[in-house]
Amino acid sequence: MLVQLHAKRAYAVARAIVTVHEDAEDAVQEAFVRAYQALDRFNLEQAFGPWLNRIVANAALDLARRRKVRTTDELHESLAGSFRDPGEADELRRRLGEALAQLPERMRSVLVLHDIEGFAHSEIGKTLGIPEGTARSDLHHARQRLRGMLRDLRND
Amino acid sequence: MTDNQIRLDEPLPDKVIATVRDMYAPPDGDAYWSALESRIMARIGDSAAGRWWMVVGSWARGGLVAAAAIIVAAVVGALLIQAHDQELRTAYESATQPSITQQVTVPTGALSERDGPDTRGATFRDVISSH
Repeated sequence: MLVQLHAKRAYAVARAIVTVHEDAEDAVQEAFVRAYQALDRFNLEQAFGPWLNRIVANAALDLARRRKVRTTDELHESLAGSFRDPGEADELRRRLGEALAQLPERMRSVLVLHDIEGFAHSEIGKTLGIPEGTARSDLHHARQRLRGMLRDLRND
Repeated sequence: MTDNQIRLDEPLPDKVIATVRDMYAPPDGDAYWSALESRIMARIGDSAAGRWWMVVGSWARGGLVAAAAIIVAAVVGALLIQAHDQELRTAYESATQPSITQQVTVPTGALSERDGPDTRGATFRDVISSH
């Protein structure tokens, strides 16, 4: 079954973009429906995975845009009282979550897809619809910004 | 920034990568993925039905005027046939009713004049007396 085969990879792509589990799940569902509706436009000589990943990314980006205002407001509220002992694992987790949420959407997606999901730059380019060079550049900037935001945690 | 600088870009610390991987890990267990697949297939089913209705809807929009015309024609036709039947029935009744009246009245008159017991007796008496 196509859904079973590709759902985990689709989830990883969606999660890299929208960050929240429920949103990633919604994006995956929406993407499979869109893929089904567009199946007659799928070229059988292409690989299905990258084609689906692109649809997943678009569905996730649409969802992220719709929820951007809400997410930004929530983020500002959570950052206001965010300082606790940075040595704790859950603190690292929380700070990382906030830092990732502060990255521009595309940079975060590139970073997560490359460093966490192991996508190649060319795959990221195809998935997000950006040139490969832009994916490389975004990755560099994303890492740099993340390091800056987590500077006080680096030596723990 | 040059390509060289990008290539030499230092990866994030392992601890950071492991934490993010853990944070973004997909749900574990086949039950979750089976349930997700069921929801997806249900949505695809709805969507397919929706598309079918959209197609039917477009046909219906195109044929709506024709369908209405057919219905009006059928109703008018039925009314005309009913009126025609009524007309025929009336004509038939008007043509058949006088003969019925005649059948009822004429034989009664004829019988009283020709076959009445007094007439028949008088004739009989006249014949006997003359012979």
